[in-house]
Amino acid sequence: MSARANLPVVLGIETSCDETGIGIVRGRELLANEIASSVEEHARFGGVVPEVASRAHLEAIEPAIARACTTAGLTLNDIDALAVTAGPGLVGALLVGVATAKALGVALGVPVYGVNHLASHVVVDELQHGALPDPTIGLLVSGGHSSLLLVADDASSITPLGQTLDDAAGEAFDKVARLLGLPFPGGPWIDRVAADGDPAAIAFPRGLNNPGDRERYPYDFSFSGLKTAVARWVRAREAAGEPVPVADVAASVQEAIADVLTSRLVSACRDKGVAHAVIGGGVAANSRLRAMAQARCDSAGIELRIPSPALCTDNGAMVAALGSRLARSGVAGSPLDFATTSNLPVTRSVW
Amino acid sequence: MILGLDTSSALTSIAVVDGTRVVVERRHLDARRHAEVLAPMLAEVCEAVDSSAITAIACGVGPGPYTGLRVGIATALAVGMAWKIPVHGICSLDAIAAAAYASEESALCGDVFVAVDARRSEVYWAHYIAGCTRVDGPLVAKPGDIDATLRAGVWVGHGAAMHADSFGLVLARDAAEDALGYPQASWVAMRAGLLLASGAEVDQQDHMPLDSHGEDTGATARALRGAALLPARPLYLRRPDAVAAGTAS
Ligand SMILES: [Zn+2]
Repeated sequence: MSARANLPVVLGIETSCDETGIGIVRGRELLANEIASSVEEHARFGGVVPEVASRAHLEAIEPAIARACTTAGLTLNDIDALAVTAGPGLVGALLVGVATAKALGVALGVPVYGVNHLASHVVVDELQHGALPDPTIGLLVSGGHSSLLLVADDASSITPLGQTLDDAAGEAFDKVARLLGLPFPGGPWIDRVAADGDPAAIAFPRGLNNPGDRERYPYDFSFSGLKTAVARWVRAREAAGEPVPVADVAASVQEAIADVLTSRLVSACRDKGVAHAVIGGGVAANSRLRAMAQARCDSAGIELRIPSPALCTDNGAMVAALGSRLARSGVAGSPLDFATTSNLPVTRSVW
Repeated sequence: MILGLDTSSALTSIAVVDGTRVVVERRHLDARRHAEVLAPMLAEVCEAVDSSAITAIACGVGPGPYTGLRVGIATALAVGMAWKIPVHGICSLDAIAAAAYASEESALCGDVFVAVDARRSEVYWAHYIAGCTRVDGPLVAKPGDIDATLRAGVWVGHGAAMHADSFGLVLARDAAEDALGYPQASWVAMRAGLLLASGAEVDQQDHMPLDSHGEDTGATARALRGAALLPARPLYLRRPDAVAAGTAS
């Protein structure tokens, strides 16, 4: 029997926000990554509506599992273990995935890992760039979270170093996009529009940047002040009857957000003596963030890994990747009565 | 044998029935822990019976509080997918009506009304005639807004017990073990078994007139008239509250 045949096949389920993600991996090999998104249904509300997301998950989940099996060329009977996001996230949305995973586990007679969404954003990089070095600092940036995490060698535990005190980075992009009359979700639009703008045009504030805050919140983020500053700046232009230079505003906002995120990532690596970093979450697709992070990590001697965009946004493959790592380490499945959890901090990778 | 489950109320229940015989049944009353308790109950039931003899799954599809309701439907769909057997939906109020008509209450020979808690001081309710035929509903209303002549009739369901002042004759208790109070998995499964055995049309058509933004103004009740075996999809009678997550500030 080949070594490959001994590697566990893990099906991962992700329903913490508005993406219904189903992934299948064998060892560190990605076999399928199916995503059904309800993002368009939320666009007119300017943000994710929890009940709309939960309804969409229930509609999408069974067909997505079937598609993933087809793509992988497997049947459910070939699955050795299941992994599902148990939190953090929207409780009603999480429950659709958790109920599905537990029922599949019982019906197929295989273990179920209830896993931490944040840890999976870091571990997913294994599917693309091989085994994660130990330990690794993860910067997670999306519409739902902005966190710095220290992930232990075996991925069994995570130490939250810091997080946003108000808006997530993706929310900051969304809110600024709305001020500029750009559609939801705002991140990709800001990135596109900023390409024609001057990032040094306007000096928008960097949150928590005065010496007192830096000492008290060395690894945290705050973006609500930025949003307020942009609103004030745009309003002043409008009041003066002047056109708003949308490209310059977008470029300057993007510069401020990327600056704050990358400078704190680099200081966390330095302070903790960690030479490896991973960026995950939907905002990791932002071109300026990627470029600035690469440059700053290079000059600080930090090895930076960023998965491709399809593995950065919420997906099932990342959950399967963490489940696979747990299964290969011989970690037991979660008890069937594990609960979902909506809140940070969570220091466990698995329930 | 049929595996039944229902999570449309505070009661989480799961059962395996063989005709009208209940082979095994588990119940747990807790409005907030459906997902925690259902999977261990499913594992117990699978231990207790030869699961390869289960030929279909019947799932209560509400109406009921959505978060819990979805746990049961997601579970039913997943087990059906794993075992490659069909999954049917039963209106959860029908399960209570079926239990009522089968009970020894002499008052229950003509029209029966079922009401369950819909929160916000409202009930989900439906109207049945002998033979357990639903002639109106499911609908959602404040008890006091239901037509007074209907309210004067015979009512079952824990919602009727909770609002007993509003109804004529209430024959249900607000108790987990009362099949006239809460939808029970065994009655969901028996009802499906009866319909399947009688050759009732297995309706694969989508009876849910609501899309995910839909608003119900009796459309569900009209669409469901005469339909007893439903697709395994939730009977949402209200549109989602459109408050985006994380927009506070
Ligand atoms: Zn995420």
